[in-house]
Amino acid sequence: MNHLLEMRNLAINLYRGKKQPQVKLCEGINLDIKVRQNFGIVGESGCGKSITCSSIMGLLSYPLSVDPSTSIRFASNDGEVDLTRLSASQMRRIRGKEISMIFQEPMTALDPMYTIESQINEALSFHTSLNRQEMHVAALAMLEKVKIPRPDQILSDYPHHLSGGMLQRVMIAIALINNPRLLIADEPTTALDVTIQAQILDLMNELRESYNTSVIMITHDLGVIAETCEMVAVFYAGQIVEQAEINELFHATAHPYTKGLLKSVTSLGKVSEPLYSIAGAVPTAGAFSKGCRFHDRCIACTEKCRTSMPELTEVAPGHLCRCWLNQEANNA
Amino acid sequence: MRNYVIRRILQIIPVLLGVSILIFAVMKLIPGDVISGALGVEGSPELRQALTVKYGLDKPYHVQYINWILGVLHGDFGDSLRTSEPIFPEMMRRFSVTAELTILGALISWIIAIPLGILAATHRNKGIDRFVRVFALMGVSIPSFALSILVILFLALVFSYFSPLGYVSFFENPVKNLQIMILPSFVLGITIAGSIMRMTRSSMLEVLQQDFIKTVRAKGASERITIFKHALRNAFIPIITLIGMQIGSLLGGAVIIEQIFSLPGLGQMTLTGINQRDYPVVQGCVLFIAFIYILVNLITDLLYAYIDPRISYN
Amino acid sequence: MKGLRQVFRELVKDPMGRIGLIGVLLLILLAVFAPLLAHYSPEKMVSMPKAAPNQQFWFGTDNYGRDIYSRILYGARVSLEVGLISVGIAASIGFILGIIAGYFEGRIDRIIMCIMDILFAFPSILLAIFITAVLGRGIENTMIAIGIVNIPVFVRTVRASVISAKGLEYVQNAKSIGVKTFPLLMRHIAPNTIAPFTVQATLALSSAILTEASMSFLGLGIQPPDPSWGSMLSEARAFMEQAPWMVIFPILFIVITILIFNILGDSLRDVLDPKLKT
Repeated sequence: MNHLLEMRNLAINLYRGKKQPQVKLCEGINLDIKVRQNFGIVGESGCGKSITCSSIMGLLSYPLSVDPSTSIRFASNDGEVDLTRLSASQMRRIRGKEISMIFQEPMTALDPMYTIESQINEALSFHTSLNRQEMHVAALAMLEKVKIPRPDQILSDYPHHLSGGMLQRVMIAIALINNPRLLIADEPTTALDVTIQAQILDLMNELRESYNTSVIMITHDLGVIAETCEMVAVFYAGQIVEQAEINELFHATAHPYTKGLLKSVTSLGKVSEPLYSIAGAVPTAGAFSKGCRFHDRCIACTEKCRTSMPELTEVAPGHLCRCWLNQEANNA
Repeated sequence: MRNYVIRRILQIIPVLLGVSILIFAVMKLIPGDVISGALGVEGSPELRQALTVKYGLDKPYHVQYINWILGVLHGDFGDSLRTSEPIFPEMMRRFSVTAELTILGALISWIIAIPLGILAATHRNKGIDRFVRVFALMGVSIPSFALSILVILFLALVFSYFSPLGYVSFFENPVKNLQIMILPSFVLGITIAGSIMRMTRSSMLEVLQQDFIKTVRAKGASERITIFKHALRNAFIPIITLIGMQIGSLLGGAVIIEQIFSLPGLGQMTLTGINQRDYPVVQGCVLFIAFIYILVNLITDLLYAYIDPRISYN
Repeated sequence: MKGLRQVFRELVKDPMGRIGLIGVLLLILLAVFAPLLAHYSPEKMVSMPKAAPNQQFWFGTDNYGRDIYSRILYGARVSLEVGLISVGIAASIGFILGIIAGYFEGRIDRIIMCIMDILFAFPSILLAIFITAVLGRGIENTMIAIGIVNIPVFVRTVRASVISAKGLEYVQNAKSIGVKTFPLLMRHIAPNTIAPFTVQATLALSSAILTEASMSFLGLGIQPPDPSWGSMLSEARAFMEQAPWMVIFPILFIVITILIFNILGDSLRDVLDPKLKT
């Protein structure tokens, strides 16, 4: 396997009771994550980014489930495995050890009943056989790495004593303490103040390099992508609509949705222009048309877009796009 | 922490004062005078006069109240109008029965309700969950006296088993005592188990949806650690609040159960007092039960603060 | 705020809500038409004592030879009457006190809540027993006692929703443009208390019926020969091994009645306050 992770044909089902058919929230998603790559996933809320990542972790719960046709191959320390075929206990050995995750809301991501130390120690105790003293030393060292001041004192604090930025640093410490191969960051800066956001992103970039960890960065913020990622996949309504290297994506944007996203990013200096927004809203799962899922919001919609779904095709080397416009341009 | 405890203890003083004033005032509302009620028609005017003076009923109300409270503070609840025996020692003897019944009842209800509530939450919408929900709804809908009678009737008709009569204290004969107490405690426990089960279930469901549970799972925790170390610990706070409030239902339920199973507890003493118009006994018992209730609520409040690190003591 | 009609529609859509509504309706019909449905007078001896259920006496007869079926029907009247009136007393006093405490806050709030805390410091059945011990037994005093016991829960519920309603923007706006206290309370604040108040009232009904049955069972509530399920049960206890029907039917009706009000209350809470639904 050339990649750290190869996701093939991911589909996520939503169970709606015995009488109704299942709805596919995501389908046909293929992702290849290279070793030490920083991979960005961008899209509006509800487009399926978060559940895609939860399915890598095996953390989807009722009424959501991964479709049996999916395979997620992962190069673990013990060789290549298919994450969707692992038993619960095999998956637990991977979770937190080889694949870690940090979440959007640091204020609620830690158990309010336990000290920071005990929550860091947990991550160690599930995967190592360190004793209390060794764990204390490791936790202390890790807090220093995530640049938490007075780590000694913070260890004995409870989550409600700390600010959002500090808690997110603690979350990063927990995620990286077992030196995982892959870190999934689900909107890690969305809930933070702008000034703190930059600090956290810098910290993540720095640690990623020193730990040799691949990162999947989920965000709705193209600014975050620009600052951290090498490869980007754009999600829309449960599908990938465009995927390319970062420079290619920003400079040779192919999909109308990505263009819209780029246009809606506010840039300083252009104060006089009104804010751009993509009209309409993401369609609901189960109510997708058989055509392109973006057609009713697309400024370049044609008759074909309404009736049949375009495939994800290569428009330039390494640049994939799901749009009839580009396919026709290429074919011609 | 110490300051918090002291402050909470100081806070219950006005409530205790209010409770005692209320009981005293209500007793004064009794139509007719207490002495003639107690003596019936037989008492001569001289005897009546003597008793009135003996019980201090010739004094103004506030003096009567203060005398009563001062006595209570020294463990003197006055004498029974019927037996002329001091009330307090009798009350303490009977309290041990009520305390045993309530504690056993509470333990039984927790042993039944909390595991079932957790199971229902972790197996949401499955068979066990439906069973628990029906059981809980039945539990909150069946009065303790009705359940007692059903259980007694069932045991008598099906197994020809009759609950042993006569009470033996635990220290005299523990085996016999438990034989006597197990059935009443079980009934008492079942009647409050329903609401604990519901609370455990809904509180666990709420906690299991929270973000930090996902973090714990993402760290590679087993289900056992996720459920018991993290979810249950967080779900416990509302459960403890409910358990504290239920001490009232337990004490109230005990009044009825003691009557049915002929246990010589405080509830039975109160009812006998009411039936015999033995007002000092009624007054003393009601005050004492209210006091116990307030005390237990105070303890749950303190426990609550001990369990939840977010409650600040300042 | 949902309208009454919408609440009703959602209640009917929920299977549990349907059971609750139909059950309560049936109970009310039983109670109202008890004189028509009953075969005999509830207080007359009409047969051999302790006759087993048969075609003539559906639920059997008691130790005085009275028809249990007829007594159960009249008992439903007593139960509902005591339940409705005592909850009516508790709800109206509780509503007024809760509005006052919640709206004015400050000293008057502290006084009201202190009194409520004192009432709350008694196990509820004990307080009810204590009040009837003083007032005397009988149906009116039972209603008063159960009513008083239930006041605090209403005060707390109403007060809490008044306090949260006061923070609502439109109430603040109304206040800032000079709407007077009374219209503000009635038109803008009181409607916010209806949902929790209704749920509370339904649940209080079930607990009032339970308390009445318990008190009558202890001999402190409704007095014989008035037919109350609780007192029927208390009389029947001595004969239950020989004539189990004497206890089975009153128990059945007590449990079903309380169950129905609980089901309705739960379903109503889900409809009015979906946040709490689990």
